[in-house]
Amino acid sequence: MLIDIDPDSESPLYQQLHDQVVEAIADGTLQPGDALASVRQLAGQFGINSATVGKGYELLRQEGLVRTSRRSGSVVARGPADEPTPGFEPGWTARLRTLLAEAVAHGMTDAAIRGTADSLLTDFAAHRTDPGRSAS
Amino acid sequence: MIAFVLVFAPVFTALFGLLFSAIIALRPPGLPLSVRVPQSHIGDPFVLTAIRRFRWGLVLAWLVTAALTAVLAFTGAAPLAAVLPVLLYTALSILDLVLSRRVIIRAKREGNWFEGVPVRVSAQLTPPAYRHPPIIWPALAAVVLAVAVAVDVALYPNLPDPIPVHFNVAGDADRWAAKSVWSVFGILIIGAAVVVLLSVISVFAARYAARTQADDTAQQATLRTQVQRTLLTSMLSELAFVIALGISAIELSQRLLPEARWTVAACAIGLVVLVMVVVIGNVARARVQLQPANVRDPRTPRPDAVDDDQHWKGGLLYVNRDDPALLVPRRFGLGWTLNLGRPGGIAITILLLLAIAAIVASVILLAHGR
Repeated sequence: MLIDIDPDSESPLYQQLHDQVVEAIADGTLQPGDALASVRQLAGQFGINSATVGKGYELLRQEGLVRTSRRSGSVVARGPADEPTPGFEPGWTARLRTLLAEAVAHGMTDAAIRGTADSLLTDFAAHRTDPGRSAS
Repeated sequence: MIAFVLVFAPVFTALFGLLFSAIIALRPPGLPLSVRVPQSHIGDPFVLTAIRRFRWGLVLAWLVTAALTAVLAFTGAAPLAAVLPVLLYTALSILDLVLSRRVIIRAKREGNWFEGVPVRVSAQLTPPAYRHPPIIWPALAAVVLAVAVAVDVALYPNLPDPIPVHFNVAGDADRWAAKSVWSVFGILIIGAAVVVLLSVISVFAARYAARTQADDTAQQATLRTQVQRTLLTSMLSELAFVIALGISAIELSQRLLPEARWTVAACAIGLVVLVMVVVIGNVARARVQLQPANVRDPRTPRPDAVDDDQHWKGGLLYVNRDDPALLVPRRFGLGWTLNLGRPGGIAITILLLLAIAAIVASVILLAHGR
């Protein structure tokens, strides 16, 4: 799969890398056990500092989404079908609270917010069952 | 001799020109003549004009080179006539590239081709798995070199002392050396070293990761990496075999048919022809394999690549202080180029230039100092 980094975005490069890996796990593009390029390979391909890529991988490791071992390198550690990651929810709820508050403050109705969330979740699920449906 | 020179330089430069021209199709469509253009301008009239101009420039350079060859050959500077035109042709084709790409650069700047175009830097998170380069060619190379060594060992007691080590173009021995392991096996030792070097580079080439073009889809990026890996590894390992074959043939013909004057020259010409066949055959195959990667399908839209022209001097030399990579894939041509924006890249380039200068100097000294 491809990672597309927007050099002009306000979001830092490591964050963009992290976000795209998380989305790929959610929609099944990346499966548990899939091997990821090493930090050096990826930095070499992007032409950016290894430390930046390393930071993105470190974040994914802390969240338990990626596992790195000396023997097999970095692999995807879990998928949507696995048991929920323990201790994950409180932090996520706090961030979601901010996002929802943003939507409410900007005048989105509760129904519109639920509709958007539903359609995004449906997209992830549809892509998981039929990966050819949208281009990865 | 004159006939040989008159044929050799023009044929060699013509094949070189064809190769140079064929390489255009190996490049991603967003990099015509090593200039970055957005997808909306891949078929731009300025781009097509520049490519046409580049191809005509190669033809013109060939005519100039052929004329120089004829002049040198008929004024009696025959050995020079075999080498100088090839160097001139290389210089002229680089000049041709630098001048032709200016057409695209100017049009791009004046037309603001990248204004408002979304750009991304892309990379493959799950690169194609590493596969060992084929072992068959280096193995066959070792076999033919071993045969030549075995013949030399068997003949060693009966070889003359001093032994001829160099022949002029007419096939007459013009330099001798005292019989020793080096003067008898020297060319085979050099051949073995070349085979080992090419095989080592082919292992590196099997890990080659082409820089992903943001306008490629994931499948196209994978195909691009795989085709370039196969191209480099199979070309290098086949070259290792062809060179071993040529060197062994020269050695065997010299030992077994020392009286025949044409054998060494025939083997040398055969070697050059085989090298060209291997290179052109591999490039032609890669061109066909790469075609699906160069299609831009509007049903699967992709962002454009970042305009990184400022890092590519003349489209050939890479200078980027912010890129930690020392070796980067070439933008035009095959293989890698050094990042001259890093101290290590500059140091290696200086060492390489010194090594080439030393080789050229020692060849000239040997030729004149006997």
